[in-house]
Amino acid sequence: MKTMILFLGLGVFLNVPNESQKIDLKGLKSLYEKPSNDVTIINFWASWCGPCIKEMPVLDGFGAQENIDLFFISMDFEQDEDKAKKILSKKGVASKNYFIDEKDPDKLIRSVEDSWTGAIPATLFVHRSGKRIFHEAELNHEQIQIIIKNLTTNQ
Amino acid sequence: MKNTFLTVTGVLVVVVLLFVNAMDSEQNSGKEVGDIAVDFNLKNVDDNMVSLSSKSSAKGYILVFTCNTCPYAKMYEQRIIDLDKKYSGKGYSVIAINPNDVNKQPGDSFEEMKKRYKEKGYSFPYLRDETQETTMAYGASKTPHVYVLNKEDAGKFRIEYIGAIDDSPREAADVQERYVEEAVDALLAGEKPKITGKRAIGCTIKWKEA
Repeated sequence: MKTMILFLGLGVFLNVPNESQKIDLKGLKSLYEKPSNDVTIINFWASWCGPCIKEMPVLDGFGAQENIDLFFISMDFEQDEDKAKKILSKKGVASKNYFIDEKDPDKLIRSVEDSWTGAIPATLFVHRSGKRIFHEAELNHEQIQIIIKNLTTNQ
Repeated sequence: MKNTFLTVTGVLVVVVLLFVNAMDSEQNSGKEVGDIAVDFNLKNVDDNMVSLSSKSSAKGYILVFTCNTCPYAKMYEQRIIDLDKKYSGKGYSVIAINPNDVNKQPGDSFEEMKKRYKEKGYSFPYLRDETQETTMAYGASKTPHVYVLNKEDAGKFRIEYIGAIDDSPREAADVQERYVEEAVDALLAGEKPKITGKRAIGCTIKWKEA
């Protein structure tokens, strides 16, 4: 019995880096409408999306900066959530990941950004002041730097 | 003196007009529902060229920007084949266009497209948009991305629906709303589609490096 408890406890412990909660549209909105840091970055990805996984470590690196909050929002279907968790842990992602809890993609896409046609990867950058920059394509380190610079200057 | 002034003013007006035009075209990138569809002349996997006017009996088309490689496009592949089976006899056949840059996505090469076409038994043209000009003209941004076109009297095609095929990408069995079918059914009944656009998640089109 004790061994079993220990085993379960260990299991929980091992799962910590992959801990991902569900987030509905209201919760998602609060991430970018009430930003608690200078810059909030919200990246929309999925386990089936190659370019998303490629840019993930680069984004995660920015999330480690003190003035930046970074959230990954997985658009994976429920059936693929374990696959997504494996990718997060394989890539050593430290930033918080959420699984989107909204079945209607049209509603989700329009609520986040009017100009978003639905392609992923897509990333929303929000400044504390409310200024937003939305990017619907893959990003590299240099592009992210430029976007953050544009977001934080001329306030 | 007066002439110089007029010339300078004239040049300025032209410059401003050009500038405004440039801004406009940037904002209106792509087509919207209600716009006249742009015709094209693209190479099919059977090496023949295909355009909107190729099929004189067409009442319209289900134009799908799709590819071999995107997992989302693969989820919809059978449903695209089924759309053609259901509607080609009624005058609305599928035309599939693969826009992806082969350098970025070798799995979308013309040879790979030919293989896929044979393997899956596509009953509709599968065209390669080598220059990506057609894809840009439509404003397609992802695969799959559907445009339902309806032929009008003057032989022009009007865009009547843009967006998702249905509301359940992962499980075809869970589909509740068949947006493209509803749009085509409406056109067949001589009506306008009730829903003219639904956005879906998809893979970014692999654009050529500028």
